[in-house]
Amino acid sequence: MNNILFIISTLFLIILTYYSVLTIWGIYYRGRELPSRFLDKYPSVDILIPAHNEGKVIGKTLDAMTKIKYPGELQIYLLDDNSQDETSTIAESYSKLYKNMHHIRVPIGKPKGKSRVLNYGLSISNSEYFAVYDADNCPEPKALRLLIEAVETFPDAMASVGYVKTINEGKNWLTRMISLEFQVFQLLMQSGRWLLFKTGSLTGTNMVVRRTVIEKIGGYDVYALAEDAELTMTITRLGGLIPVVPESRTWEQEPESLRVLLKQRTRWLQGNLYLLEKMFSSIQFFKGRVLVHSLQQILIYVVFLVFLLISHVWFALGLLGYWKFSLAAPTLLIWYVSYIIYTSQLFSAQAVEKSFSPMNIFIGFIMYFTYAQFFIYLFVRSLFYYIKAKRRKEIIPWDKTIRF
Amino acid sequence: MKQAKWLMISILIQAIMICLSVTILETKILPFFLGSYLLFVFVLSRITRRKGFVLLVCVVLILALSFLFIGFLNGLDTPQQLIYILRHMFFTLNGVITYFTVYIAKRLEEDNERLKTKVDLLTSYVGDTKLLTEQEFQERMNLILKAMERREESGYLILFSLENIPSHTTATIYDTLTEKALQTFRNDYDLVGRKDDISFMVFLQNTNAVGLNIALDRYAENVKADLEMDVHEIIHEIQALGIAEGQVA
Repeated sequence: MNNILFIISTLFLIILTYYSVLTIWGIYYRGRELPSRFLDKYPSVDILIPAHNEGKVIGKTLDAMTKIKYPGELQIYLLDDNSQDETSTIAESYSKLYKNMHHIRVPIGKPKGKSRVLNYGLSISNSEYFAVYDADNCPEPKALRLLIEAVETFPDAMASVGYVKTINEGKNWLTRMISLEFQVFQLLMQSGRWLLFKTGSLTGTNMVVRRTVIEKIGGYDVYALAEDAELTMTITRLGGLIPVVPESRTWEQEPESLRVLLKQRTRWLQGNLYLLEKMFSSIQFFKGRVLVHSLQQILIYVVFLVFLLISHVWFALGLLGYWKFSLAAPTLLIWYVSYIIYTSQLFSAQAVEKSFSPMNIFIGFIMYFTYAQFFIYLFVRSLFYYIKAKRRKEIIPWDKTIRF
Repeated sequence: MKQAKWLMISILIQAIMICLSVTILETKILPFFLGSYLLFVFVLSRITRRKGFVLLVCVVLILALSFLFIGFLNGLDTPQQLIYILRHMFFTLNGVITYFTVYIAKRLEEDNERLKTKVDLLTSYVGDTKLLTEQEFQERMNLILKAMERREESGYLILFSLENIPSHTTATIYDTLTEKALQTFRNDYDLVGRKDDISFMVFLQNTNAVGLNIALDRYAENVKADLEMDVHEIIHEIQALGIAEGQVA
C-alpha cells in the first residue's frame, strides 16, 4: 500500500510540474507582440449561430454580428432549432433588414443538439470557411478577421480558435470563478500548449474551420455532446493545426447559479467521457500530435481525478480515525504545492488578462477550496449518468444552458 | 490610490519584511534570503515587466517544487514540512512585494518621461525662447492663412536649413540665427518657428515679392553683424502662399 501511494504521489508531482511549465509558457506566449498578418484577399466566411429559445440574448448577439469588420464576403446564419420563444421574431426582424443575415428554421430531428443543427447549417451554406458562435456570444469587431488571418497564414492550419471572455463576470462569486477558470484554461491549455506543442483546442465558439475539413470527415458527430473537443481530435488526427489567437475575443454569458452550471458541466463532462471512450477504442488517438490531446484527456479525466478521489477519501478516513499509517512522502507539502500551482495559475491568468481586482484576488485564494472541489462531484455525477445511459442504450439528451 | 502612495506602502512593507526576516529566519538561511532578495531587485530593475512577472512565477513555482523535492529526499515529518511551507509563504510574499515595488517605481519613471515629452510637444515655445514649436507655428500659420485668403493677401514661407554647416557648430549657429530672426521679422505679426534640430521656418504675412526681398536683406544684414555668413545660402525653400501661391518668389 505504501508503495502504491508513493507512486501516486510521484505521479502527482509530475502532473504538477507539467502544469507549472504550461503556466510559464502560457504567460510568455500571451505577452508577445501580435504579428501583423494582413491578407491580400480574404476568403468567404459563413457564420453559423445555433439557437434554441435564446430570446433573452439573441438580440445582443445579432447586434454584435452587424458590427463585425470583415474585409471578405460574410454571411450570417441564425440556425433556429425549433424555438418557442421570441428568438424567431427577433431573428426575422434582423434578417429582413440586413442583406447578409439569414434566419434559418432547422427541421425538427434527432438526436437533439448543437451538432445536428450545425450540420444542417453547413448543408445550406457554401463558403470557404465557416465560423461558429454560440447564441449568447458577442464577438468583437475584429475577432473574425484575426481568426481568418491566423488560419490562412499558419502552415498546415485547418482551423483557428480565439478567446472567450465572460460578460457577466461581476454578477456573483460563481460567475467570477467561472471567468477565472476560463482565463486559466485559455492561458494554459490554449496559449501554453500552443507554444509548446503547437496544439490548440476548439472551444465551440469563436472558432473558424475550413469547409473542406468538415466535408472530409462527413460533418459533426451528432452524438457528441462536446462537439468542439471531438472536432479538435479529428483535425489533429488529420495532421491539421489549430492556431490559438488570444487577440480574437468574444464575450459570452456564463451560468449564474449552481443549478445551471451543474447541467452545463454535466453535458460537457459526458461529452469528454464519450471522447475518452472513442479514444480507447482506437490506437489512432495515440499517434503524432493527437497524443498531446489524448494524454491531456487521460491526465485530467482519469489520472488526476482518480488521484484526487483517493486523496479525499484518504483524508476523510484519516480525519475520522479509520485509517492511520505513515507514508514515506511529504503529503502536506504535496497538498501545499498543489495549492500554490493552482493559485499561481489563477493569478497569472489575471495578470495576463489585466483583470486584477481585490475581489478577484480574494476569489483566487479561495477557489481551490470551493469551485475546484465541485469538479469531483460533477465528474462522479456525469460518470453515473453516462454509464446509466450506456447500459440502457439510450442517447444522452442535449441539456441546453439556461440564459439570464 | 495614486502610484506614489502605493510605492510608499510597498517600500514600508518591504522594510518590515526585511526586519522580520532578520529576526525570524534562521541564521543559516538569512544570507541566502538577503542575497537572493538583492539579486531579485537587481534583475527586476533590468528587465521588462512581462519578463519580470514570468521570472516571479518561475521563482515561486521552482522554490515550491524544490521544497517538495527536499521533502521527498529527506523524508520530512509534518512539523518540518510546515516550516518549509511557512518559509515558502514568506519568500513568496517578499517576492511579490518586491516585484510591485520595482515596477511601480519604473512605471512612475516612464510616466514622467512620457509626460515630459508630451509637454514639450504641446508647449508653444522652445525652451525659454520666443521661438515657436513646430506644432504652434503650424497652427498659427493656418489661422493667418485663412484670414489672408479672405483679405486676398499674399505671404511667404521660408525654410532655412543648416545641413551644410559643420555639425559641431550647428546648435550654436542655430540659436544665433533664430534669435536674429526673432529680432528682425515683425514681432507678433510674422512667425518664426523651429522645424527640427537643423531647420527653422519664417512666415511673412501680407507681403509681396518686393517686401520679401527687403525682409531677407534686413535679416542678412543683422546676421552679418555677428556672423561670417550669408543667410541667402542657407535658404532651403521659399513657398508663396495666399493669393501669391504658385508664383515664383
